Amino acid sequence: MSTGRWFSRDRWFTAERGWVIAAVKAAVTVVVMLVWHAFFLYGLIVMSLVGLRALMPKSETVSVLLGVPVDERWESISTRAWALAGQVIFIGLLVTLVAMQVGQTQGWVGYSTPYALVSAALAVAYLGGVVFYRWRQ
Amino acid sequence: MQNDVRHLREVKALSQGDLAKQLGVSRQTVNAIETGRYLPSLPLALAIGRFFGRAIEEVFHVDG
Repeated sequence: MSTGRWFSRDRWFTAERGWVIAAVKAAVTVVVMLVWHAFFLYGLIVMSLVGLRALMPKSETVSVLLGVPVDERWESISTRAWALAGQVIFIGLLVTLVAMQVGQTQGWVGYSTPYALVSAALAVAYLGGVVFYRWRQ
Repeated sequence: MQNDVRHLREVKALSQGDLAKQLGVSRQTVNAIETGRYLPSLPLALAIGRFFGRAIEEVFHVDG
């Protein structure tokens, strides 16, 4: 029913917490000496999140995008959308991995290891999720 | 699954928004339940039954 929790393990990775990603990105950019770029990027991301936050009371869709579904149906929509996005990412990763491996063997520019590692991380995370939720429910 | 939520709501002369407020869900969710596009969770189905003073199987029933 009504789900106004600020934090949920099921949706910790949400747009609303994008400021963390923005801060990391800004820190990395500062490290490589692009201070103004860092400020610009951080400002851009944070301002877009502030804008979305302002729209949140008017739109249930925006609430979902910010990781705060207004009720169980929107929570279900969010979960299914994440599942769809996960499948698209996984297929994209596998296609890229194969392309990079072919590229390496044919002498094109290509480095498959990062794609293999991320694919493996996704697969392990999925398996871990199945085992965890099988235990919990 | 079919349900009598729309009928019961209209008998009480409530709008979808009014019922949504009572149940703590969005108006769109009430609409989705009424039109059969969304099957509510057991707690929400129980809350709907309780709100209308009916048993859950009086509000929700299998097709036919």
